[in-house]
Amino acid sequence: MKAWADPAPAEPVAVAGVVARARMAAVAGAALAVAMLAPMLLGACAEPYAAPCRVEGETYLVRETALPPGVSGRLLPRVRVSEDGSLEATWLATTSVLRRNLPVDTVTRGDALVASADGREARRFATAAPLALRSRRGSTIPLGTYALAEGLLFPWIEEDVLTARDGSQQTRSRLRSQIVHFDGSEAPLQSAVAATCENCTFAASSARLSDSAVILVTTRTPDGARGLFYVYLAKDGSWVRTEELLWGKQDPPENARDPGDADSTGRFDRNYAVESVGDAYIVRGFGEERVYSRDFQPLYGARTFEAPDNASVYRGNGRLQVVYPEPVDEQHPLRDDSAVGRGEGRALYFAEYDEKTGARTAAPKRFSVGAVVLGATHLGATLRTSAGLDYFAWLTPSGEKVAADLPLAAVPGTVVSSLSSPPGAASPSMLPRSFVDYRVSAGVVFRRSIVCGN
Amino acid sequence: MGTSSLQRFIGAASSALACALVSPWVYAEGAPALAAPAADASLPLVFATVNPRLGSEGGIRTFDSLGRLVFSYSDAISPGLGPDESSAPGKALGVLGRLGKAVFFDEPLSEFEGTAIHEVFGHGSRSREVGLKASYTFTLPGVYCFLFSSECGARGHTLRTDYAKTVDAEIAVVAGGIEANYATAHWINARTAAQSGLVRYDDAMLYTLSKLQYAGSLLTVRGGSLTATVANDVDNYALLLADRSNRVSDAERTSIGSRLALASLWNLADPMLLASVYGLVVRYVGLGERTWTLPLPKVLGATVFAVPRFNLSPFGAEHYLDGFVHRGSFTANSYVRVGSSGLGSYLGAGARVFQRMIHDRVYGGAEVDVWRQPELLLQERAVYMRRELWGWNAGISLEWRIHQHLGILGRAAYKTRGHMIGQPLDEGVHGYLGLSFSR
Repeated sequence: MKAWADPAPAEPVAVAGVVARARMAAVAGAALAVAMLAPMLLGACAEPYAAPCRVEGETYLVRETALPPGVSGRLLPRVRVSEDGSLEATWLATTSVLRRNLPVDTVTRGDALVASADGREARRFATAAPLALRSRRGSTIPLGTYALAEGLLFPWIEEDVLTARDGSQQTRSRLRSQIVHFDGSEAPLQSAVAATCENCTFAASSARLSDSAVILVTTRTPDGARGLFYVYLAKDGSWVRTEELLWGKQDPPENARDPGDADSTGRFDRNYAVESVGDAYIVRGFGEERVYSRDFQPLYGARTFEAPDNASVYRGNGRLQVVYPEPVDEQHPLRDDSAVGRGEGRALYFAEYDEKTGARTAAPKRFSVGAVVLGATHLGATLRTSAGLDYFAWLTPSGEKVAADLPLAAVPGTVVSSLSSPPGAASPSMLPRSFVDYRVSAGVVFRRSIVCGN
Repeated sequence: MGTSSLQRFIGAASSALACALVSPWVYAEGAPALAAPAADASLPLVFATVNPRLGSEGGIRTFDSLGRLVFSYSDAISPGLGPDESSAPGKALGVLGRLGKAVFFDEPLSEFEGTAIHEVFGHGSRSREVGLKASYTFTLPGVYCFLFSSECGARGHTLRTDYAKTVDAEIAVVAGGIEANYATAHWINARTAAQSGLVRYDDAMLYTLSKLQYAGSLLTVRGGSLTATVANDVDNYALLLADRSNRVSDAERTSIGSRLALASLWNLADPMLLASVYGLVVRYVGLGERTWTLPLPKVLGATVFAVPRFNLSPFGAEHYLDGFVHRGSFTANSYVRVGSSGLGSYLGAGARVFQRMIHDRVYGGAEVDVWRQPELLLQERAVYMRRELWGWNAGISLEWRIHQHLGILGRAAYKTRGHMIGQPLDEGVHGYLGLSFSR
């Protein structure tokens, strides 16, 4: 290599040197450019990640942001997807009235939306609440409303304070229900002695299938004793029977797990809950569940299942399937909106139980990370992180996670949700697969279609 | 084992390991001798633009060069400055003096350099690459921390604005620090090969620290604790591996930790590490030599050098076998790599010509890598079943020495999505542009 400090050569040589250097620089630049550009062109062949699921459609079936005239509030939104995939979304409207110069809310109206499985046919209607409910001023616990073929079913709990001659007081709780037909007429008021309790309070949960409904009531006396009874209602809303449920009478231990029923009246910190799962009911107790047929008879020799807290339950392939967030120590910092595995994430698990034996069929499988499960159905679940981000997770029939979580746009203000698969979802085939994600609040019904696999 | 016999052992082991890897280079280069000046027989100091989205290699080389620049202070100290070591007291005094210098000056310098590379171009580079902001804190290095500080745990911290949004990105950030240290060790190996086995004591010191900094944690990792609030990089890494592979039960995490601990023996089964420790203790402290030459074998006139390399990839421990060959101005490396975590199948191979004089004052290099790995998904959440994909990287580098000592250096490459030590995770162009200084 020549030393840089060589004496300057004669002019022609210097020019030649400059030319050589320029040529060299050009070659070097061209080589760099080729190195950068050629592989980029070749790189076009690289396989990008392709999400197997996508959101195909989002629409508001109902979006009433303003309160109707004469309505001061709305409450108890419910969503139920029938076995045929049709939607029933309901809520109550209240009006503020004065009682002893104090304002109290009284239920004045029931609202409902019934939509077909594909969301194309939707029927929106409302009826006035039954007079017996409308006329009450306080001491009333509404339990929502159900859209039946004849009209809207309104169940509620009445609590009246009875004062004896000696001045002592006791609470009389009574479960009642009544249908208001679509023409405004009222069916007979339903009640029963067995659904009345002196000196105790009620907490209730309810569910319905296409041809029946069940109201499950946990009773509690001032000394803390619990009781449990149910009312089984026929398709037309009439009460068929009212009976005690014996397996749930045991008072739960202090550390018992709570069923965490979103539909419960929330009066006690622990009560029993009933849900509809597929074509059956499931009663959820304290760390144990029991499946009932659609006429509310215990299935499979009254076996119980030990499902975890806050589990979303569904039935598929003759098995009871649950998805649930793992319990975490409340003292421990929770992070589930980012990479986990640092001991701070809350895993979401899938587990499966044999309905005939009640035994878990395999070890739980983690399918995602999040704070709560919003909805679950055969082959899919929706979840929310503690940061408020929603996702959809696609699962195999055995609960294996397929690909990545699908981000879902937020639907502000909605408070209950339901994930469902169209009819035939329990077939073993995974592909293609579609899901419907409903988000509901009083006055808002949002429908989102999710398609996976093609 | 005496000096010469140890050197022979290292040379023989290195030669045996090298044969398979370096023979293509030797035959490709051919027999004719290359008349390159001695001054070119080393990789230059490189001060490159540091853009984390273009990979951390430029930053690692820059800090490595800064360290070499700082350590050049020792060149200004005359070897004859110390006591006459022909007598026993003089020898003891000389050894004590060098030991003191090593403990109070050289080791803290080297340690700070390694820590800075770990934080800034390891965790920091990966953090910035995945869109996070990072800042750094450093404690007193070396013996000064023990003397003057009440807290001497980790010598540096990278403070991030948040965790990464996906486990693939997070695991790269967590493993990035150790990865940068191992990348530094790899560059020291490349330099050693380019210098025909010549090792400076500061290189030996940085190499030893880079390889051993987390060796203890790796050997004792048991899969991470779900309840521990403070964990080191290795514990976090093991926990993230469990998360990424969806093997989160206690038994599964323990199994992952045990495999990682066993795999890390590859990091220690390194003749260069042995030679560095030996060189520091015997050649530098004991004999006062600032440089020494490894007895590397020669094949067809080329120096060959084989050495294992270890890395923590997003898929688990990764074992490399590097082969270097050097002849004249030509220095090249080829490698094979394979994973051992059992959490997926990942392997690869590659080759790189570090420099080769292609014209008067112009040196060129080239690189090509290919791998098959579980898919890296930097944006997707909670993925537990992944495809295995082929990936590749190719690029060139050019150094134009515009002056006897000063040059302009550039590296441009393109890679597909996948993990490569010290390179970006995602698909795209990467590289750096900088200045090079040759002595």
